Amino acid sequence: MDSTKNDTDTVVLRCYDNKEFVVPRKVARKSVLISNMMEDIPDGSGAIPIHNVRGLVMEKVLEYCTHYADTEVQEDEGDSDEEFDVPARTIDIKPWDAKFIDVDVEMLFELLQAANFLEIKPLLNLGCKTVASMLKGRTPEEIRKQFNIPNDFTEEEEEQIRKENQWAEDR
Amino acid sequence: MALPQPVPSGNFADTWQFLEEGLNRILAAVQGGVSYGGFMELYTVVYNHLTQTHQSGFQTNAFATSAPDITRGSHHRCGSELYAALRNYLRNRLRMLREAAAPLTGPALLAFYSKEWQQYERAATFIDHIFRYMNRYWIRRQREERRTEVYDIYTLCLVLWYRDFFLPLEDRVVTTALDQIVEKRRGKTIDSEYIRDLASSLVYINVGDGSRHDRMNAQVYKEAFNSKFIQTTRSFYTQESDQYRTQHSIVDYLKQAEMWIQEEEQWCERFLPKITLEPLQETCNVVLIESPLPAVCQEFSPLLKRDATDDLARIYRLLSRLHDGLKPLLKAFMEHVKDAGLAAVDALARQITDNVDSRRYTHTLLTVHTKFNEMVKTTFNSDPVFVVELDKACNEFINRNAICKPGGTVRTPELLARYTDALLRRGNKGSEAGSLEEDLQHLMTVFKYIDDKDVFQKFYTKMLAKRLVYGLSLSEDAELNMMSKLKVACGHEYTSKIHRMFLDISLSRTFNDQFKDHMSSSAVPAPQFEYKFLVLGTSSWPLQGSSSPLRVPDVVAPLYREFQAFYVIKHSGRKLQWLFQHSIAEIRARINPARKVTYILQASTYQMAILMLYNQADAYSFEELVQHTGMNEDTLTNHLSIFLRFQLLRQTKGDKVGTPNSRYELNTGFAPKKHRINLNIPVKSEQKQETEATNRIIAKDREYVIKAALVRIMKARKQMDHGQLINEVITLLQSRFRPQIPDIKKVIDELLDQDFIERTEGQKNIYNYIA
Repeated sequence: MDSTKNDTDTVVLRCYDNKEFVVPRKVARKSVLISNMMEDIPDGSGAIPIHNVRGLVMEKVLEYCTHYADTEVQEDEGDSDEEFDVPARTIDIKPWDAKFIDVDVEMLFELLQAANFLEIKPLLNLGCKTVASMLKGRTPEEIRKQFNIPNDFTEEEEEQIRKENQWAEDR
Repeated sequence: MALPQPVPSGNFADTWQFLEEGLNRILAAVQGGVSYGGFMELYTVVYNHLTQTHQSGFQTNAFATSAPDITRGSHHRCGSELYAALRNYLRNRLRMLREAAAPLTGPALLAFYSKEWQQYERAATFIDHIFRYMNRYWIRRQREERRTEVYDIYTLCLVLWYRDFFLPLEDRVVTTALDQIVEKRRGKTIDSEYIRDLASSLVYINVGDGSRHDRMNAQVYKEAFNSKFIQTTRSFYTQESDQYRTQHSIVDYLKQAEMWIQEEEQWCERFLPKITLEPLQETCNVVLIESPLPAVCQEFSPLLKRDATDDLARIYRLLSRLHDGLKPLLKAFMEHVKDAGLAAVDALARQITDNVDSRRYTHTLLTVHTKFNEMVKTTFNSDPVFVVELDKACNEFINRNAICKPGGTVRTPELLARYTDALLRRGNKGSEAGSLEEDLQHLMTVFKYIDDKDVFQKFYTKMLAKRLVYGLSLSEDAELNMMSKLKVACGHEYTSKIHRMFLDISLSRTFNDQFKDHMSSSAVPAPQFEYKFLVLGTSSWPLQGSSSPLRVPDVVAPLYREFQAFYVIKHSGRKLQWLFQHSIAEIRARINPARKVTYILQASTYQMAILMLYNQADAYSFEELVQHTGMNEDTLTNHLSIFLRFQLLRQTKGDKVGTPNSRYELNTGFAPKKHRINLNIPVKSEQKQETEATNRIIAKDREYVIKAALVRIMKARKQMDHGQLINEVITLLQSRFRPQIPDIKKVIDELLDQDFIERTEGQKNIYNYIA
């Protein structure tokens, strides 16, 4: 089966909230999930249901996929065997990516979830880097506030942890 | 309305039931069995199951619990639950397959295996994609924790195929496949594709740690199939080959063996994995070529004698497959070429009675070389090891054969030089090869093989000198062409003398012009004839000095004196030595005044001096001739013999030429058919003497060269062992000639006598250099 020759064709993605998107195949194939499926079902047709992503988020995901439609996934990001073994080479975020990911926390979370579900590694990495930069230099209290996380440590536990990690405190 | 979740309940029983139905469809028919929607539902169900700590639907600001939490027990339970269920499911499927295969035998069994394998392998890829979320997190985690019994889903599918389907059937399936291969070898048509599928399924399967390296190893294939395949191949062809050889000749057997090998290789390349080819070739080589090797080698010489090039080429092809397989052939080939060369020379030697025709001799050598050179090229694929043997053989028969015996007077280098002379002389009878260039190239082919290149050089320069002095060269271009060929073959030093000879000729040309200018302004009356002088350096020209004094004839005497004086003025300190026997005069002569015929006689100055006397009188006694010409008796006798032979003179008194009081009269009846007669011919005895002299000179020269080499080596090494020293000398001189050990010993003795070197006390074998 020659999957590339269909790259100019379009497919329909139907979201959780029944919102539909008509996208070129090569854009859809940025998702490893969809790419695999197209290879396994070469003569498939009809809308592709995406149960776990809602339209608003999908729109954002597709913006990303369209922008990078013609960019090959780099080997070190693409090889699943080493995804976690090798830390992301750089924390730098490209200008376009920075602008793209400048969204509220709720959207960021949903984008991450969608990228994880659809297996779009560069987007997943971008989201993770963004979260990492949000954590950097913040106190636990600030982080809890930002991400709405309840504090489930007792006072003693917290004191203990603080002591153990004193070396990491930024003075 | 929202898109509904495929399994809204989220409990494992519902989830698994949903997945099982999907798997059933996938395994039944991958193509068309599942739609986009079906695929996505199955993937989503797996995804939801593995991320079920948070329920589907979207809670905001729920980072803490949303990321797949791989440390929590609940997640691990979800994973292992699902993994185990899938594993059991697949094992069940495979048990059913096994049961379906149970009653099958022969090709039907292989067909079943092939079809099910293809289906299953495609399904495995599909399932792997459905469970990809599991591969990405849960399974990766397991493997990172060294739970090597957990495989990624694709590998799991293959491992289970191996354990639950292939292993129980292994004996039957593999034996059936090998039986089919034997059938195929016996000429029956079989479905080789089934065997290809079986083999490739075994390459896919890896039961080790699931790493890529493991897959490359193809351990399962090697053990389950490859080794058995090789084993049956070995026993099959051992039997076939033995049987075939009892009924057929070796030549026919080799044809059959080559065909078998070709068939096996082609089939293997088409239907079996690459890793099989090498052991298969090895096995074929051992069984089909190596075991009957002695018989094959025995057949080689007879085939050479029959010029059976096809069969020879086949033996070459087959034996070059073996390590060092050609070795036994090489000596036989060398001997054969040598014998062929010797036989050709023998045949020539039987035909000739007196002088060896250098052209025929050279061509006899060349024909043998050409034939076997061609054989090496076309039959033995220009294999360097055969080229070496060809060279060895040619070297043997070209240097030592029936005509050119060691210690004999006739030698290949001399004959080769004579042939070169014949080619480069004016009036070359026309070429055998089509052009002079080709002839010269052929000549160089033979030249390459002669040991005594110094002997060739001596004779060549001698003959070149004659061609140049007497103006006999075909053309200067041809001469220079030959010189550059020698230079390429032997280096600059080898041709330096030849080069200087050409230089002398061109310098003489200029000097003649100067002299003629001088003559036109001098008081000496201009002579009534054309003249030319050649001034040649003694060291570069192999010409012997005059054999006799001479009273220069009056007609040329003024010119002779004037040139001598002019030369000494131009080049003070140099001495001119006149080579009267090499000077030529053309004399127009009317022998009988009664007849109008004028003859042109070519004569040396000696001869001219004699002939000119007959302008004054018709007859002279021997003593008168000696007196008038100033020549010594021997030389005079020789020239008189020539005149008598041409019947230009008649001996009227005395019974032998040159005896006292003998008398010689002009023969007025002299009437040869040709009007131009060359009287300056070498006397037969002279020619032989010349050859001997040349050989003597060569022997003497060699002594010097050996001596120089010995001194050079000893000077550098200071101390040396006898054997080593001799070896060094031979290596050093090899390109010029092959020094004989007795000759070297002789020179060493001389050096000991002359105190250049001394023996070490107590160690007679070691020499010291004396500074």
